[in-house]
Amino acid sequence: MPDIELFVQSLANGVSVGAIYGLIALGFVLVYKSTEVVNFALGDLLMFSAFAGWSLSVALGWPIWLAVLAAIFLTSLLSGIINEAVVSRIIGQPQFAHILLTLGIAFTLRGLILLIWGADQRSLDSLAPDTLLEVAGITLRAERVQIILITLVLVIALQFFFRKTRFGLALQALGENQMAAYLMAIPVRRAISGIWMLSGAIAAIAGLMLAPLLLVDTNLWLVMVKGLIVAVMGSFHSVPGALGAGILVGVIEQLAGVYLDAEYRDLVVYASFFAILAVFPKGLFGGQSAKKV
Amino acid sequence: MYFDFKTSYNDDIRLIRRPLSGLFYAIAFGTALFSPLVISEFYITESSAIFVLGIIIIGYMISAGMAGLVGLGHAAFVGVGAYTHAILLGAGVPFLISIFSAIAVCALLGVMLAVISLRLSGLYLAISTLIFALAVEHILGSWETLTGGYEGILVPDPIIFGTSFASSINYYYLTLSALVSVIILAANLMRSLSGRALIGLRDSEQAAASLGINVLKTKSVAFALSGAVTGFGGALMSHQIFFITPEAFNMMLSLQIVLAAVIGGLGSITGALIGAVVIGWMPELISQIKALLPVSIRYQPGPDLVIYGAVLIGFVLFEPLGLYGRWKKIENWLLTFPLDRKATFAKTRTYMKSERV
Amino acid sequence: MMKLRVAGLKQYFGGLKAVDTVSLDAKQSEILAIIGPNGAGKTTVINAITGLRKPTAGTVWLGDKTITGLAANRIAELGIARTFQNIELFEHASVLDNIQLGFYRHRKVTLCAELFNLPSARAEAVNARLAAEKILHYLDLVSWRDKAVSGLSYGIRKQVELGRALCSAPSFLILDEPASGLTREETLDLGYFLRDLAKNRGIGILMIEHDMGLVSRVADHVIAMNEGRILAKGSAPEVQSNADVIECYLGSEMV
Ligand SMILES: Nc1ncnc2c1ncn2[C@@H]1O[C@H](COP(=O)(O)OP(=O)(O)OP(=O)(O)O)[C@@H](O)[C@H]1O
Ligand SMILES: [Mg+2]
Repeated sequence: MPDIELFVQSLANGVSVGAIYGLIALGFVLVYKSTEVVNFALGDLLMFSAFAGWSLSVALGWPIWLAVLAAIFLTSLLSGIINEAVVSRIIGQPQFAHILLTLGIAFTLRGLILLIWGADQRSLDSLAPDTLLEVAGITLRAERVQIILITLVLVIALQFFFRKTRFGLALQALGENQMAAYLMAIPVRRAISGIWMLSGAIAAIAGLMLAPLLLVDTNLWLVMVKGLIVAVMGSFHSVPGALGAGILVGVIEQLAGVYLDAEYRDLVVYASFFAILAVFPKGLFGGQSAKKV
Repeated sequence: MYFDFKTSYNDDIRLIRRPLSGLFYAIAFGTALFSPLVISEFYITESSAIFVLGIIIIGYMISAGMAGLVGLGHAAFVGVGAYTHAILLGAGVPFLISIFSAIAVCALLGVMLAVISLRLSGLYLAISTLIFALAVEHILGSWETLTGGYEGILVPDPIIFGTSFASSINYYYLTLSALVSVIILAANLMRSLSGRALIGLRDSEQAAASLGINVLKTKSVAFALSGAVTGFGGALMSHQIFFITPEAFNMMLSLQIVLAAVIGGLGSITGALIGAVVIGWMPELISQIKALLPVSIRYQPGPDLVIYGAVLIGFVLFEPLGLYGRWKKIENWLLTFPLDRKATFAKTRTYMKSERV
Repeated sequence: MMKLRVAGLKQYFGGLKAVDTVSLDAKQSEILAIIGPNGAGKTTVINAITGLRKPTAGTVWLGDKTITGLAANRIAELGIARTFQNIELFEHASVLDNIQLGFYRHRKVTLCAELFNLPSARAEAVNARLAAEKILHYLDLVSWRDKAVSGLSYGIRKQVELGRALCSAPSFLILDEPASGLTREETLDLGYFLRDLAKNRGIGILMIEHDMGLVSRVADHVIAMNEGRILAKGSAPEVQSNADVIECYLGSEMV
């Protein structure tokens, strides 16, 4: 294979994986911006969506598109329930408490998934046909193209939602200042639940796109780590921030895997994470504000 | 109404300040000293494991509880301590030199972590320690010439000046004396100005700096001490595992350390010890609970995770001060017996304080 | 007698000139008050003096030593102590621990001595304790000694913060709105403490304060600021009758 084609292909692979990381990061960012909670259970929600998708499509034989929609819906619901039942009880406590609480939820969820589905590996079909596409002389798998397209559509839809719709603007206000949002008669509690559901749905979409690339098993939650890295790099800031940082990480990872050694892929990602934080302690999109006294 | 039970400043500087905790420590130490005479081999081994956990959790407490540098990656220190010790022992280095080298290496690792995360705090710090531990685990796995990679390496027996401490009873006394030394060092730290400086750092960096505390230096000291103590625990732990692989020091171990600190109560030595006991006994407890479950799920890993998770959730929601916090309330009630007022520990109002970075 | 001098201090945040060419002189044994409406840049001035933020331009001298741009902890070591507008206490520590930390700048022993509790470390612990006890008695905080700070009333917390600053035995004490949120009685007490600290103990006090009653009772000199600039300097009555100051406060209760 000519060098340039290998490069472009790994770039495309990097972008598609990075898009998924970006979506996971977005799941973190949405919840963080409105409640200052980092949801460490997001990886397990994502894993749940993949298992649910598998059960519905393979075990129950539903058509894949229906299974995917249902899995997204179920995950979103689960995320909302987690917020209502547990997380909303400790709003206003220190960040440490939130981290521990969501870690506890993550354990529980992971344990339940293990109980229900066991530790076997399964494979899940993708929505996209299993074919190769020729784009400008470069062969790409349809699956990869589909990931990039879905992510693009989703991100544009979200941007429209946050900029143009009433509810989206209300949520933005919530992210800026909860008290003010409350005074503006935004139903804060319901809005936060809405955000959690949205975040769950996005994680589910990421999971259902990722699962066909890997396998469905109980290690799937580990991609949360990449999502976290991306969210930090993007300063827990915005939709484009998360996506941009996601693609950066995805591309770094793929290029490191191809040109260095597959073994060093993750290590290179970790190293670039620390390098970026060393230069930008608040992430790529964070301001310079120290605490005001 | 105000009661002062003390008669001189030295009372406050003494290690054991309250009569009840004096009694508690006396009983605990006496029991620890003599119980191997009566308990079975299994419990002796189990207790040494708890002592080692105690060391590790005190190490975690120094950075997380005192300095407020809440990390999610202390397994890195345990792992590096264990590997350094095992590799040096394997190369024929005497036990004491090896273990002090492991401590030194972990202190350096702590400084390294401090340097790369010096300007981070709160959430970013927590996440970067998590990533740091993943990276360390990864390096332990792929540096095959040194660590034997994922195959693992054998840990030689602990032999100090010709005496073997491999037998469970000898190892028990070895770990007990290690734990007692660590407790005394940590207690000394807590009552010193440097220890208070760590607390200052935790609660307000700006105020700490305005009192002459060098924030960056103090953070490095916190991570170095914490790393050293945790690494010491790791080195001792290697003798329990006999055969160490990188997976032994994965994210689950980090989270168990955090869990123990939360169960016991962050920020006190007693809390750390309580946490160690609970976490040490948790596998036993879980197997008891699992015995009640139907056979089909009894041997699965799922229930363990559910129980760990539920315990963590329960503590955050209902007993955020941990078991030690609960004990303090009881102790206060006993000491002030007829005069106890509920309001002493009544929750003060907390305001939503943004920790946005 | 040492002086704390500030010359040509500027602090810009992007386009915002929060402090624009401020100069002032504070002397030991004297109380200098800064007044001015919200957002005048008062806090920004003292943040620059105490090293929490590097000023855009200007110089700060303590005696004949330039301290501009030194790290906050270095400046504290030189004997400038401060309090904060929104109270920055160590919330989860006791009153005693908070105040004892004020002693930190006098710390001499090594970490090693502390870890092994060598006699030198023990002696220092007693010294820190003695210093803190004196403050506790001086500010009449003895009955709160072992209480956790987070549960105390606002007034007491302000006292504790003052005590913590005093425990460092500073030559200059910088207070950001020490009377805000205090009751009338607490404010009166505070006035006596401030006079005593300046006149009998020789501490130089630089304080930001909105309570003109307190300012005219205790301050030797007053500076009025608005929009990052100094409007007027002088004694309290002089500043209060200055036309610019009156105009700037027009409609507020001071007139
Ligand atoms: N860290 C910062 N970043 C950006 N702007 C700031 C910062 N700190 C202060 N400012 C701005 O500088 C101006 C002066 O603020 P400062 O806090 O010094 O006012 P102040 O006189 O202390 O007012 P107050 O009486 O309300 O305390 C304000 O407009 C404020 O918004
Ligand atoms: Mg101010």
